[in-house]
Amino acid sequence: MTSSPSQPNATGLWQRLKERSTLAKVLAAGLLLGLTVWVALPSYFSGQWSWAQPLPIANIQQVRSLRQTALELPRWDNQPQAQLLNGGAVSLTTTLTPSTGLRPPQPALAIAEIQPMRVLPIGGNRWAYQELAHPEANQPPIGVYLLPQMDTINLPAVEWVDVRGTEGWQEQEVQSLTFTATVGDRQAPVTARFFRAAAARTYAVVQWYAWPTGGSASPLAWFWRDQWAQLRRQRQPWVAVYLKIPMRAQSELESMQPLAESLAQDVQAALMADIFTPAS
Amino acid sequence: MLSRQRFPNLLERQGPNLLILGLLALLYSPLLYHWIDGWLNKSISIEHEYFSHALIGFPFAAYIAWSHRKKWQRLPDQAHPLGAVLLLASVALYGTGMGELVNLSFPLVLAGLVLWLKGIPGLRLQSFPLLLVLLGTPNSVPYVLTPYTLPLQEFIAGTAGFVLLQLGLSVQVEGVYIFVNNRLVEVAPYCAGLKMLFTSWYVSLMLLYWTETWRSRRTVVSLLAGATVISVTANIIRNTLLTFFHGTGRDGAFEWLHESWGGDLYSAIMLGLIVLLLRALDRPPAPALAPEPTTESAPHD
Repeated sequence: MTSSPSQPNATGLWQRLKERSTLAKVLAAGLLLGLTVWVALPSYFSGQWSWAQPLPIANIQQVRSLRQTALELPRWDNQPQAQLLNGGAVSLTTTLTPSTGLRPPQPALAIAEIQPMRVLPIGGNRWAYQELAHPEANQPPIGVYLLPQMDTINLPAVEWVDVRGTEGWQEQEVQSLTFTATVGDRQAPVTARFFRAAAARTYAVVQWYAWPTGGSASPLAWFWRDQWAQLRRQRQPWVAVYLKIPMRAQSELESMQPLAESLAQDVQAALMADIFTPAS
Repeated sequence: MLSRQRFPNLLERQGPNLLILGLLALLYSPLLYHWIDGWLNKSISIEHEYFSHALIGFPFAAYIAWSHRKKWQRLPDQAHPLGAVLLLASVALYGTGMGELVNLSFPLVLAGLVLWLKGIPGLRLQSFPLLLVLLGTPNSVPYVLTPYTLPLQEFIAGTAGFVLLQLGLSVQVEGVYIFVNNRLVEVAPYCAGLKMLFTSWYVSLMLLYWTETWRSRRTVVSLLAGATVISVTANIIRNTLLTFFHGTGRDGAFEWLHESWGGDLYSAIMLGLIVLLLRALDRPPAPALAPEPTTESAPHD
């Protein structure tokens, strides 16, 4: 359709509308107008734009509380730690081991307080640390390290590299450990990193980022879940978890798998039940 | 361009255009203001900082688009259906209210309008300004890349450690950690220099367009490759300097280069080197004029 020659002001707007090009522009303008009226104008009036701030996390206080309160793990024996006056800390069980010839009996150490958990710096972040009694006798306690998301601006990135740097261990036989945690009728699949850490001692280590509906060792897996949740105006808060289970140097990693999986399931379930669920 | 028309006719002819521009301004000026505020005050997030080159890129893109207006008007009006698709997609993204998606709706609405008004020839005409806008739109790609930058971080840590070792410092490198005189420096993902690399490529694109050398594939490839080398090398040197400052206790210098205007000055010098590189690449070869040293001087060994 070609544009018809129009007399200025004579046929005016209506003639112009019949030109396809003007029609195209009017349609585009109409679309943008609709968008402006429906979406932009309410924000102008209220002064609030939905993208100006990151979407808040619903129960961020509970997530943050991980740094102050130990996680409840009913099937495991939490070992309190003694915070010493000189700033150090010891696990209470180790101080109660009988003295050997090399180590004279310690009189009462200057203990400031006894607490179920303490905060440790790892790679610039402060992790919450708890100790659990190892099911095998004569083994040091199991370490449970939790790093909660303190704010919307904190994103999981390189926690496993930081841990490796701080612990100074060699990661061997790195593999995936998949398990499902069940809380009530909710099932959360988790894919964690599972490996043998060789340092002064040997450990079986499980690492993953936990969120309300599951977990993964990959920060990107969390990222996509969180993005998807944001479309529904919700967030998926994350807690980085790593479990340090002492093992005998000559054992196979596979032999530690049942213990590792059982503990990991309990930790994920405890997080889902206590931390990720809003307190009623 | 409008002065020869009578005023009422002007309004009729330009009415729809002005309406579209006005609505775009209403829809996007709060967003653009938010972006600029974030870049100037570093108040949004680290990922947002990766796109601060848009502060020079967007005005440049607007300037180029404006300088094309006569050619734009001479193009026949044609509405390409892809334009409608992009416009509708942009509206949908804007409607979600989610930061990432609203950001993405900006280049989409511009591309959609270009296609809807002037079709593929219009897109070809305005392709470079649209590309500048697209590459300057904040998104989460830098975060998505962080798991993959580990090898680069380790390389930087290793090289910095090696250089410091040659300078006689007691250095130990473990993965991305450098121990100097028992002080620890971590080469974090955001120290890997990706931001400066992206900015270097972006500025290279702008330079190529400005000097009209983008037509030569050799120049384009050489400049982008050269900019990459300059950027990565400059970043290694910067990390080495930062480690040196921290390891020898020069915390003031560390702060200056890491957080304060020292870093900006360093980046500006690096970009200046890229400009010089382009001038060197672009220098017309004049074999007839340049004296051939071998014909005149005594033979070397």
